[in-house]
Amino acid sequence: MSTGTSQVLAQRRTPCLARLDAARPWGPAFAVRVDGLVVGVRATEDAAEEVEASLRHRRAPAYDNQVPPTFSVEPARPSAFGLVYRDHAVAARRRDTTTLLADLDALVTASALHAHEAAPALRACAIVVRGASVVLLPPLWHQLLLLHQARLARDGLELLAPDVHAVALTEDHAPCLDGVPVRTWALRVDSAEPTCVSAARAVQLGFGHVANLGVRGPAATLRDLAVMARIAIGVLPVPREQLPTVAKSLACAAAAASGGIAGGQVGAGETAWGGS
Amino acid sequence: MSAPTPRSVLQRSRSPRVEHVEVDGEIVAFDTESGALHLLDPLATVIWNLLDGSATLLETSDDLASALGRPGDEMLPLVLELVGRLEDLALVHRVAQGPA
Repeated sequence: MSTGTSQVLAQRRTPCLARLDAARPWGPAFAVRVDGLVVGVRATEDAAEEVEASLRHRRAPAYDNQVPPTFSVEPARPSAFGLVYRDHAVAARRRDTTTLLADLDALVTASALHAHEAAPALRACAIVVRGASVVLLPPLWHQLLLLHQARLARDGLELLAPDVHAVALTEDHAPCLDGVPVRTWALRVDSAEPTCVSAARAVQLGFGHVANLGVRGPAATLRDLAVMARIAIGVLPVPREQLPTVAKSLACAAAAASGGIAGGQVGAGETAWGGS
Repeated sequence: MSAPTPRSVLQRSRSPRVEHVEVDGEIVAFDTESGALHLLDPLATVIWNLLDGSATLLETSDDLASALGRPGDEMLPLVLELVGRLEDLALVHRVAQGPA
């Protein structure tokens, strides 16, 4: 166990969170540590032991009494999805608790990326196309696409659990996420803007999505974004019901353009946004 | 050529509080004090790159006119207007004394 000073992750108290507090029989929060960050987790009373056991390798019991529950876990039941909330918002949604706990581990790990110096940490929804390529989508899409994970999975598309990702950048190679090339970075633009945004506009649009700007600094961040801008496109606001289709189109187009394996057939009328 | 105005004989330099990157001929500049992010179009980017404190705005304007094949009289008002806006945003500042 680390003996250094750790920072405790604060919780955003909102009326929605107060409602969540009252809605379930939560067990006490327990503390886990990722790098130098202490994060609070709680689970419904019936699942508290199992959830704590799944994070045993990260436990920091000295902080149990002072850590707010950033993550709340409801296990899967035959008639209900298992859920992980970050503060009050659903951050993971699975039919089985084993996968849900893997998502929880990934979410807890991603919490520390804000303080991570080594690589730019981007707030984005990430979809992996059969291990061949990654497409990054606007962060707000993440929560909505959680509802369509099964549909995406049937097309060979994996929605990654965290909505913050450390992207490895090199001068000569494509940006990578855990060794998988990131082919497209879709940034939301206003409806008045062209979907084929200039590289400089992409840097400007992406700046607010850098979670670790504070530790990387603006100069390094701008350099990072100049690299990411090579693969950036703009996407217009998408109606909620069309989100899975547009996400699939973007992911498949990115994979096809890179010579990778397309995640599924792109149906008539489903065209990639931007670029041409 | 019009007579030099007081503003045009002063030099300007990019503010040290600004971090910037140039991508595909456009500058994205971040003001570390205000937290504002600015996007400069291609012409503004050319002028921005010339604002290193070594030349007056008149000389900068002449250099630009020569490079673009345009009359100096035409470029000076553009340069003065753009630099004025950059000054208002505190992205550039005046250099106290010009070279001999």
